[in-house]
Amino acid sequence: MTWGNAWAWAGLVTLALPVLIHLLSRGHARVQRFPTLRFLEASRLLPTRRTRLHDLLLLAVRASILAAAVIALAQPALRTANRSRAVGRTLVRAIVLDTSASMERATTSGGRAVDSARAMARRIAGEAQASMLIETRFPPRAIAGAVEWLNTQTGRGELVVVSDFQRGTLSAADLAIVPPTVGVRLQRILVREPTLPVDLIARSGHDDVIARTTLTPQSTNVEWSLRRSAVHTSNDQLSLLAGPSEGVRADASRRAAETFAVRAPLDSAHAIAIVYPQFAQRADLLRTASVPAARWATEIVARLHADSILAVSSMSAVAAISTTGGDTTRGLVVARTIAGKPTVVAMQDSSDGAQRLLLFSFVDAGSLTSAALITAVNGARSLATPLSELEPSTLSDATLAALRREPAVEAAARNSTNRTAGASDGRWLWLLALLLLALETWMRRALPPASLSRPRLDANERAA
Amino acid sequence: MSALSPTVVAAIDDLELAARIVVEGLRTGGHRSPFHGYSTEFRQHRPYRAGDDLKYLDWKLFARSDRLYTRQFRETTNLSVMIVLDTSASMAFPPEGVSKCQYGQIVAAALSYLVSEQGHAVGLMTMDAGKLSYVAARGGRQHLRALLARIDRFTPAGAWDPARVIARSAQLLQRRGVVIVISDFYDAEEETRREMRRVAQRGHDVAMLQLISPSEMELPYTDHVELEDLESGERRLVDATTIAPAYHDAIHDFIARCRGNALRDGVDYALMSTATPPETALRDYLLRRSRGLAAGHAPRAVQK
Repeated sequence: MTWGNAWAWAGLVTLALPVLIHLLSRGHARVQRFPTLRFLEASRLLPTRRTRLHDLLLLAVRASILAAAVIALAQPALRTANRSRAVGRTLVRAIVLDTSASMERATTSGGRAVDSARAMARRIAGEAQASMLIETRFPPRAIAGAVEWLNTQTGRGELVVVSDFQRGTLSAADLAIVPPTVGVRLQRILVREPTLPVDLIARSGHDDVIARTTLTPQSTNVEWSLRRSAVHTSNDQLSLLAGPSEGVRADASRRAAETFAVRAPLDSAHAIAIVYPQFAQRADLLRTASVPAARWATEIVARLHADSILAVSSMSAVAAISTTGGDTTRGLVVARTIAGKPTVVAMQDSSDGAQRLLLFSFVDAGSLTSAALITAVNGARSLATPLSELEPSTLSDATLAALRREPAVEAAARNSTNRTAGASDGRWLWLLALLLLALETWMRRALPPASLSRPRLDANERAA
Repeated sequence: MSALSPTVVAAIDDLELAARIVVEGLRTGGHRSPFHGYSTEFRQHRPYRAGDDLKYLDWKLFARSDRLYTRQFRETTNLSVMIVLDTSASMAFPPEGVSKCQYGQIVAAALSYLVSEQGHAVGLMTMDAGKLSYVAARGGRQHLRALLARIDRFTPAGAWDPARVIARSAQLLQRRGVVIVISDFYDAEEETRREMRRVAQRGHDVAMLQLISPSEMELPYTDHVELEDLESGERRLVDATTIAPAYHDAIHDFIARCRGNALRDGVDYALMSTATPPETALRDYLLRRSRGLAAGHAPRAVQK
């Protein structure tokens, strides 16, 4: 049984009305002329019985009329098997599939977790009338979009998150934006706990610091070792395009940036160039370059945008040159000064048939912002698994159960175009109220007083 | 002839006609007169037998013939019947249907008709607006009509003083006669009883016809009702459902007390319900009275 308008229950206070009427109506007792009062017992006068209700049957009928009306207003809907099926047919699901690195781990039955997750997502989608699948490495960020899509749909909405639910994947705060009428289903993919050690490499110049880490839900064991790397961080696809007078300052910035360790391996397949203000072909590059469209390029831009060191240093930077030197509106602004002027703008061009990400710097090549930019680019190029993805523990079943909830039927009833699926049973109660009203009218008018139904004494028989 | 309901009889405007209808119904039984007069008219002599009352010996005949003869008398028609009718406000109950007053008027008229038809004298005593209203006991057709017209005119109002009315009616009887009191006997219970007993002790034949309506017996109300006394105007708010059992006990006790007192005091008693056809009620009463006469209980007819 569900209630379409639970506030209507407040109407039950009206039940006090018939009780009051029955208590107070005594004040308007009808006057009857009677031959003599000598046989009436004085001790049975009414004032001694002021609180006594009379006509209890009539009172019960009147109270029932009001109760039936109140329950009808509350729009009850009895959940029958047919209705459940009908409502089930209107189910709409938005499925968020976790594709983060932790989902690359093996499941308990073998195979990759992400593959199992995709198979399960397909099965869940097949059960719903309509569905949408979002694959993301950050499930919390996809929830808002999923909810937005559900709001445009008719029927019972349900948000499904398919993940291994590694600790930190999802929290109650992430689900706070989900409306209460939308159901939440959290589908766990069971993965094996990692048993082999993982080598975490931090590269600084030619030095690699290797941390051999063994992670268990209970403990983390790390063995450190140092080695000379064959690859230099600067000897790769990152090029600094600076003018003659800027070369030294740009190089100083690079060296400063190398003091920050970067987790190996780095992306060496894609070319990235930082274009400094004094670079000779800068104007040409600005003219010919376009908006970054390649997936790898946009990912790096997104990581740069999220880099806190670059963001903070940009805020306090002073733009070295005007942005009027080229059309930067076609590029993506990576960082800005506190005044809102761009300090780094990302664009893309093709060099020797390969795509290249161009980061136009609007600050001095030897500035702190410049060093922060190089550091951020090195960090963004890291292909190492984020440390958070190595977390071996997962959210407990109890936590997931607390977050889970069923989609509301009444919401489906309101949204659904199929009115029979969620129709209220209130009409039957209205009918009952009408019948009771007729009964009450009949009782008031036609029911003989109880005393008249008693057999009369025949005075003559008594006399005889 | 089937008995007409009280409603039908009460609906007949002409009280004489109504009385005649009731009396015609009574005659179907073919019983003898329930009222016995005094034997004042000489009929014959018969030889004295041992045990005869010496006062009926004809001393003059004894002087002439030197034989003892007892005088015998023929029954005459000069019985006087006084009807005392209660017209107090309590007789106006019930407001719907036949009231006790209407019923009493029919019974009084029927009795008057019956008594007059049998050649007796009949009179009326009642109280109208606090004053005694009196019609002397006489026989004859014209007197009967005047009497019925007087009975018909009464409307129940105010209170009455039953002891005074009964006492006065007995005083006005020329000699020993019959006093029939038609009332609900709610007023001055003890005084009324005392007066009826006194009248009976003085040699009159006293009859007590108590009228009651079924509504009074049953208290036909539920829940809260404000009852207004028809005579005093006093109002009392009661829960009828609650007090009904006690009320029933009280009114049944009252009726039983009235009947018991009447029996003890030598007063003829009958309870008449307004729901019973008047001729049925009267026939039952008169038959019972006749049986009582035959058994030698009630009649106070004397030999002279």
